[in-house]
Amino acid sequence: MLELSGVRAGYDDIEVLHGVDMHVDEGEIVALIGSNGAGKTTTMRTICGILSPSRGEITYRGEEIHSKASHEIVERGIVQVPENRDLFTNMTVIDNLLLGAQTEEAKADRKENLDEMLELFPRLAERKNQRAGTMSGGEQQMLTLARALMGEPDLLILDEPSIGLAPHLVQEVFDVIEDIHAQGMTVLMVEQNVQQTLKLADRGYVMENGRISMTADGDELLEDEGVVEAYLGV
Amino acid sequence: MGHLVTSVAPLPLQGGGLGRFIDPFVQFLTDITNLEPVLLQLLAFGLLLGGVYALTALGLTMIFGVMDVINFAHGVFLVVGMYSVWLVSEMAGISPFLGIPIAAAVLFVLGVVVHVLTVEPIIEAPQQNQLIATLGVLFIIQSAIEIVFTPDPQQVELSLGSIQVGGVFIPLGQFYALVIALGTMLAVRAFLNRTDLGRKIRGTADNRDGARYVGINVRRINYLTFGIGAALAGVAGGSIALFQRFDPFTGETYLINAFVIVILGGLGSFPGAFVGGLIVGMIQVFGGYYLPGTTAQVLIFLLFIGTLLVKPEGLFGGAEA
Repeated sequence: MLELSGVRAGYDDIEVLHGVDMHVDEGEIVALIGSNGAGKTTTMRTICGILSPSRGEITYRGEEIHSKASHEIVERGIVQVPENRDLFTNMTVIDNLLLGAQTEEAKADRKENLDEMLELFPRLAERKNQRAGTMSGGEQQMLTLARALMGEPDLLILDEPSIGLAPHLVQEVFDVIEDIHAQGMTVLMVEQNVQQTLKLADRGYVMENGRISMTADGDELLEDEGVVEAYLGV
Repeated sequence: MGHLVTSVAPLPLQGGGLGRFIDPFVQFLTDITNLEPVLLQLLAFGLLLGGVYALTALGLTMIFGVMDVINFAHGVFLVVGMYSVWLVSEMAGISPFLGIPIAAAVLFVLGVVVHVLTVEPIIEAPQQNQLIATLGVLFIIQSAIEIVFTPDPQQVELSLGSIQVGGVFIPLGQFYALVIALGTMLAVRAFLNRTDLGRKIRGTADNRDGARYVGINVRRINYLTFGIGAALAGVAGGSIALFQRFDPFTGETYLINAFVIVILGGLGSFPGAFVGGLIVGMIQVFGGYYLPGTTAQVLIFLLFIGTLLVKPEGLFGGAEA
């Protein structure tokens, strides 16, 4: 479904990704783990067209997408929940959700999807006319996730979806991810909660210094001594 | 001391009930009608001028709010609006009032062209680069107008006259300009709040990266915003041409005041542009009457500096469009 081959990217003259190779198959949950500064978020931003790779290739369903603009990538069905949320903080919850539906298909289903999101996230329904910037961190995270789902993605990219959330909200986020995956959505996620993520994931990649250093099934990674020592604090 | 209306009879509603809402209103009417005629006249002129100033600032604040670009070409866009209305009325014999939407259309196209040629290639560059580029556009268009139409002042042939309301003299040219300004502001507000495109523009103003993540074509929003901002300058310039003589340099004074208004009201804020326009209009009219020389303009600049020092985010701060 999604394939990265030798992707190099960075900010200005600083290269962060030094040739990333990875792939995501239809219907999978794939985890990307690694320490801070390894290049996980840069990888996500490059896939979504926020950053342009200096070298390498990204293909989605056989089509090259690395030279496409971010809106063209969303049109093809890839939507991201960014690490720092990037909500429209001066706009209401409803406006944020409506702005999530940009493709023709998503616009056609906008009303039903809006009702569905307000049902899936009752806190958002309670605050639907409130400005997004005035909500708690947990509520904002729910809104970011719901906004992405309004775009009816085929591939949902989650960058640290549980960062800064209280434990009960973390579980809620993971439950939602499991639910949407059960409905057939493919998920690529970066997450600090490595144990929970690898339990959920079909496969995982370990990233170090801008390169993929290891790949295996989620369960295998959970049992790998190096991963356990580096990321599970054991 | 002559009074316009000697008194307003108090309404029978007193004390509780509706009276507590109506009494202050009655008091206000009583106070205002007891003002000296000259004060009422100045208030009227301040309102008329402030409304037009607000309109001149609207496009500027919109472009800044959405794109983070300080558009110095805005002043000459106003002038192109003035000349467009003058040309269609003089050459084609079309009513200057119909010339205003034509001016808006001309400016929309000009705005998109200027954006694609000068701003878009450096949109990610530091802000001063765009500022200098748009300043260059100002000089180029200003010189072109001067070459084609000479620096001589022009005037739209329109004898609208004036009316008197309760002893207050209201020039109809300025009154129509105020009505157009208010109508345009309400229309833009409705467009931004009630249409899909308006929501996308507000979203892009709020968070550009967020707009990219949800799939908004930010490049398209940029040139549409620049075009709409220029079209608003066209409406403003066309409205000014209804009551004022103009030349290729008329836009400069309006541009400076528009910057003050945008800073005072809050960069990117529409309500701020309206309130800021009224404040600057009032200062100019009252200052012009009571203070010597160009002291009013000095006061406006002091207000500008004071705002930057005390409340740099402006009265309605933030990037709310």
